[in-house]
Amino acid sequence: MTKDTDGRELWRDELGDFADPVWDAFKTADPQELRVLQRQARHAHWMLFGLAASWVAIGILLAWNAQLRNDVTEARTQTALALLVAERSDRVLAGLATVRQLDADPAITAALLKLLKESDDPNLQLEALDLLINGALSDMNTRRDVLEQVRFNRSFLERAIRAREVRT
Amino acid sequence: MSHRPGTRRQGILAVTDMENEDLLMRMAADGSRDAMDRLYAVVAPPLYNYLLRLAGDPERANDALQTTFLNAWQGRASFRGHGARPWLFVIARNAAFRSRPTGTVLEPVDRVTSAGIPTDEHEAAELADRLDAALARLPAETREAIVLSRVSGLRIDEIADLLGLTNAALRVRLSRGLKKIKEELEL
Repeated sequence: MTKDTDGRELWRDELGDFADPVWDAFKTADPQELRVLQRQARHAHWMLFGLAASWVAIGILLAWNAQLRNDVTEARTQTALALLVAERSDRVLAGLATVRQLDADPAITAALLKLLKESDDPNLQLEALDLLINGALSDMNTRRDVLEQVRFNRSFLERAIRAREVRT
Repeated sequence: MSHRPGTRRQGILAVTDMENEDLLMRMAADGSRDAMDRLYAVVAPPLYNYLLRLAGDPERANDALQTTFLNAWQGRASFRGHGARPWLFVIARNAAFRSRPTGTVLEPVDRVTSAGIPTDEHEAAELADRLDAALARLPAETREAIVLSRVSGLRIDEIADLLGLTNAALRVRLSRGLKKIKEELEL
């Protein structure tokens, strides 16, 4: 069971010829197998499994949340687009208010540009211009073009300022 | 091909058992459970037989053995890279003393029945019983030293470190204990 050591030499020194029989007569027994680390390993496997499952669940929830937000944004964009082409000014204003809460969108930008060019209501035009300049138009050239269009349109500016004064 | 005792030939490398144990413990310290399992296969038998004499019964000895390896695994970062076996024996001794009820002394191993076995084996079993009885009559400290010298595979200086003795003091203790056993066995 054990190899020769200086301890065994000492046994031989003390017990002489009887050292080996006495050494061999020493009772030994076999231990049980290693349990605790295996139990720990199983425990660790369950912990890893739980952790992985948690991450998957969190991922699914985040994806679901992102999808939900996209759906809501899409619905609000469609509502805003529908309102921007409404005949009644109060509805168009409601649409413009909705647009303020949305991120830039090409379809909305196009609708705002159309509103700016074609509307008879300077108040709506001014709101559309404000939205285009401050949010919808990320492209500086387009923004400059829009500003150029209204810059020399004195009647538009006068009407727009008057409408703003009336509104406030 | 002959090797000195305790040396194993592995490919072109000659690795002693102790170096092998150190290597396994270093691998375990790096997180290898497989290395710990292999180390257990090698070191658990001597540890268990020491704990069996120290704890008094197989159940407590096995519990202490499991505790030893659990503590070794949890404290593997403190392994210095060499001396795995002496390190494990220190942990085992601490585990056994912590779990041992006050007043418990080293007990003989359970008897192996000798009824109906051939004469040579019968004589061997009788000698084993008499050795057990002789060991049981030794002072606990002397008995522990003799058990360690028999089952641990540790060198005298390593056992002396474990027991907190000088080499000379341990040699004297072993010498006296073995003389007493010789008298008890009427050799």
